[in-house]
Amino acid sequence: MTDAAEPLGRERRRSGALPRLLTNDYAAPWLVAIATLAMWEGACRAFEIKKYILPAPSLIALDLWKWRDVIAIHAGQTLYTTVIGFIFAVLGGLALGVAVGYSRFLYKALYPILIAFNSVPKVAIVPILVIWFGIGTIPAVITAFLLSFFPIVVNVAAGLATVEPEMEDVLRSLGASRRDMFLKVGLPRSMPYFFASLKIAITLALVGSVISETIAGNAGIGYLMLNASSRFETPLVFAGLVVVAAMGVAIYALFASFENRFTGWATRSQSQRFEASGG
Amino acid sequence: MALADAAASPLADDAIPFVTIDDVDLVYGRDESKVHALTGATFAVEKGGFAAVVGPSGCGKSSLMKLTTGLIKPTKGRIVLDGAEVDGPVNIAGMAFQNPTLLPWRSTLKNIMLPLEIVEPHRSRLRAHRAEYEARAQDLLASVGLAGFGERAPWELSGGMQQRASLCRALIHEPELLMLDEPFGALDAFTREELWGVLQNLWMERRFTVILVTHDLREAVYLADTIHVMSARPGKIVASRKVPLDFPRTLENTFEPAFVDIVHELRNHISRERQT
Repeated sequence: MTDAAEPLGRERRRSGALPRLLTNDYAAPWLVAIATLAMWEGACRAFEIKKYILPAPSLIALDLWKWRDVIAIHAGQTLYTTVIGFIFAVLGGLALGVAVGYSRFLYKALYPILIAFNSVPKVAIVPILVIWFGIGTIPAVITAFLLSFFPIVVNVAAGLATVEPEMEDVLRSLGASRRDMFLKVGLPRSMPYFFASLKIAITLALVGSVISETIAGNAGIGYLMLNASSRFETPLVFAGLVVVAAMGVAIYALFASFENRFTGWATRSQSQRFEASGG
Repeated sequence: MALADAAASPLADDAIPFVTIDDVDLVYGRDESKVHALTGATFAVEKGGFAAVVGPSGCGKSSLMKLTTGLIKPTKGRIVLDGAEVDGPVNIAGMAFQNPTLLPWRSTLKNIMLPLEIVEPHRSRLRAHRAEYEARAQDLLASVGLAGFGERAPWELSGGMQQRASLCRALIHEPELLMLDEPFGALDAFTREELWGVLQNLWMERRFTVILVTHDLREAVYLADTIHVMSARPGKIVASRKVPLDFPRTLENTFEPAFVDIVHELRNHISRERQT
């Protein structure tokens, strides 16, 4: 009885204007964010929290506006090192991923080393990079590269390695060479994996850049935040955080849209398959 | 040469066999983990014939497919295809499996044309004669009841339609041998019976040689002119039987006593094999 009543009740609750807005997929995250900010603002004012401990969102917004020129310069530097590191990671990751996925020998020889390498915390490498290259742009680019390289290699290799055995039989019985199989099946098949890895990789590249900037930077958002923090300008630290978060979301969304555009067939066929298994 | 092979094969009558599988053993792995998949498997299929291989599951039926197309090599014995001993992948065969394995990033038409991009002489002619080949693919689609579906993505097709497309892909390069490994195994009973008709029409029209591996006895009797029963592992042919019913066969035929008797007889062979 109660089981039957439950969905009915939910249906009725949906009829109001505000609940309808809440159940809307697009509006819901915005509403949650705005509510959180309002609570934060309210708490800061009500409990009179010191601004160097936790600044209210309004103060952060003010600082963001006040320092906009400086922030823009540092954000540009961070974006620059992120993108350069990411481009190297895409080129290197694609090449190595194809090599590892294509050749069983290379897979056996390199895969354990790649895993070991990926287990090293990249922060620990920055001091070594500083010894070799000094502080500044180069260690940030290299750290961005090191962080974003691995997921691309693993995904491309996985896409190549998981071709259905029946498909291989069909092609081999037609006399296809390994090159044919790679070009007709392996490579297109690994593309959804590749594009999925790009959106992960670009956000990791940003993490790498900011890490390097906080440890060994003379520019960039990470450097700006560390600097502001040492002067107890907490609102500016938070402003830097807001900018990094906004950049991260924007580049993720950009690459997610690429993924959808170039390899939409993969996600659509996935959903189709779920429907088929359900019916 | 071919005549001599025919004489050596115990199963061939007057016809020259197109496929001869002669005393073939297949052993997987080594030492402890050794698996005898096939032992002394022997049979022949004449040109334009339709042979079905039935047997309990895990009897090495699928190994037989891979051996015939040269994807794996026998441990002992030999396989002769169109007068030449099989040594490495052959390119006169088309294959279709239970899983249609269509490529989701290609349209149905492009999927069907995939073999043309690989097999000579089509491979070098494809670019210059694209329109002609596309027309051929469209014809083939129409003949399996998929006219107008060429531009659809494979995942927009139902399971039965995907399997039809898979059959088209196996036939587009006009292979002389069609190898089918439980091609209708994943379909519902009605679709399966419908596709028996589709396959039979294609075969009667074009008269390629077919080897069909299946565990569906009605399917075997409906489609094949000769049926070979395999034993449980290690697989060998324990019985071979002609199906003396006239072509084309219809679903009505499947309820007639002559048809049912053959199914019954095969069924007894299989249950005997399962017990041993």
